[in-house]
Amino acid sequence: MKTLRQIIESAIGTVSGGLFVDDRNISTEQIEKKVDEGRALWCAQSYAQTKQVHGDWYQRFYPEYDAEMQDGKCKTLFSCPPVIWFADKTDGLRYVGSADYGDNFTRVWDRATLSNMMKHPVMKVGRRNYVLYQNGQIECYTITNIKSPIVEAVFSSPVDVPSFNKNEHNYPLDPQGVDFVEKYLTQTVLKMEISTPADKISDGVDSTKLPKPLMQ
Amino acid sequence: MTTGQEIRKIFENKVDKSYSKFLDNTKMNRLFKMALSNLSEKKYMGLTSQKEYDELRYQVRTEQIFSVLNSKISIAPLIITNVTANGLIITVTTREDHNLLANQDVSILGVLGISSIPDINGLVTIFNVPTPRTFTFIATFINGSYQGGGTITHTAMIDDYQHLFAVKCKTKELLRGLQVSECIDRTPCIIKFNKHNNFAIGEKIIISDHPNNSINGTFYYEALSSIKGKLWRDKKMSVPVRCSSSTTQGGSVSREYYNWAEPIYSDRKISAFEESTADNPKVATADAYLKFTPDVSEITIDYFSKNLAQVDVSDNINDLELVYPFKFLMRLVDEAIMLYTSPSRDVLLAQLTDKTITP
Repeated sequence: MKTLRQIIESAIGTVSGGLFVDDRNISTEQIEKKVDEGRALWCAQSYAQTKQVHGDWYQRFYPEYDAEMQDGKCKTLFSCPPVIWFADKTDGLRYVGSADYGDNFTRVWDRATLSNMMKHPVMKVGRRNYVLYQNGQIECYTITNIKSPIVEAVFSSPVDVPSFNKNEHNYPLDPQGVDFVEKYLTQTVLKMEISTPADKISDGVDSTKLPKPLMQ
Repeated sequence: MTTGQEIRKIFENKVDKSYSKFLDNTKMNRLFKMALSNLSEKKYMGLTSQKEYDELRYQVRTEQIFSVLNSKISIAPLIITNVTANGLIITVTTREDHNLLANQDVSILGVLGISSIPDINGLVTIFNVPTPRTFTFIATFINGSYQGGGTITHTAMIDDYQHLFAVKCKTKELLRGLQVSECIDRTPCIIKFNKHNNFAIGEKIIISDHPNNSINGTFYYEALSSIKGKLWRDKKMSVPVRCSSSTTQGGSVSREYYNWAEPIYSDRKISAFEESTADNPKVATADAYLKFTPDVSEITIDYFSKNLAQVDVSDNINDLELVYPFKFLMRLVDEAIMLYTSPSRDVLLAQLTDKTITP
């Protein structure tokens, strides 16, 4: 298992002959985002084949109640980091419920469904706990009064989870996935960097394409 | 033993003496100064194996610790542009921001036209700093007026800086809204936070203004979960922190990083990916400073020094092998010959030296 920094250093070191140096054209932040994209790709591909979510992909998120965010009395809104989308109409949000796992929210997939359920005599909100996730926000409708819910999910950017420490904690990916991500980095950003010389003169002319000077 | 005189003899042996005899000691010292500068730059560019590092044993400086003021540290002497006297207060103006503080000692050199007690061309203590580019000091005697010149050096700068290898920055990150909600009297003390966080084992945390004063300070943290952990005084976690039990919530919590900085170049600041953060600091060279972002209080720097022991071809006492390996000195002679062949237009000598050059 590797930390995010170790994954990046390993990939850079591999393409640059074992050296990890600071004179790169592509910034570490940009490579970090690419690692997240590679991870999402690996998780989606792996899930499509196995229909399983690997235990190493999960992270736990503790939503924080913010009174200023609320816009109604029948629901509670929380910010939540974005989650990965899997190709079979499911996503990375796997559990929203109480911290002791004794009670959970049932997932509602879209607002139209939620709206219909609101009026449905049997399914209507208030009979069960429901949760709707949309674009970095979860809406919780609770009947059993879950006080401090927790979220367990495969988040699309692990560093967005406040309890994840990118310098110290293992990156949430299985070892095969780490290998895939390192190769993905090489194929996308790093290979391009080592094969493209930097045009260091800002004069509007691509100096890398100029004829080489004759040897003296 | 290889002295300056010995170097001169080797040079003359390699170059036909009928050419070299018109090089007096001053000219030859200047030639070796240029050769030394060129060669050290070439060696710096080729610092890839232990061999090169060994040859530059006095120029590679590592793990040098400096305090940093206003997130920048001076890497060149400050240039004086004006000196004025008003009563017994002397005001010195510098070309760039000096980044100096009152009561700081600075060394001034090369000011022309003014004499004072204490001597303006010596060590003076700053009285106050009226603007970022001026400072004053108090004299008991002043005579004359400023005629130009003058540089300033001080201990809070890197006066022999030439090139940067790597720099580690001490930064602090305040974790907004995070407070200690409970202290448990154990060995070591266990603290519980008001919300979940990402502190990892071995990280340095700073707790301030907590009502339980025994947990205020800088500690090493051993996470037990994402909401509680143990406090230690040392990195090896052998000296525990003791505290009394309390359930009062309060204070503020910060994390201290000491991470390597990445260079940031002016033409890349436009990129949204080049933002510096407390755990990913950046360093830029500008205005004769190393400038750090975000706020940095201390650095540990590895750099290439410009402090070179110069060759004096008239000297017959000092052994240059104490500073440079013999092989490096022979390479230095070759470099001097290559420089010498250019003005003398001796193409044959240049080609011969190039073929037999010491690697």
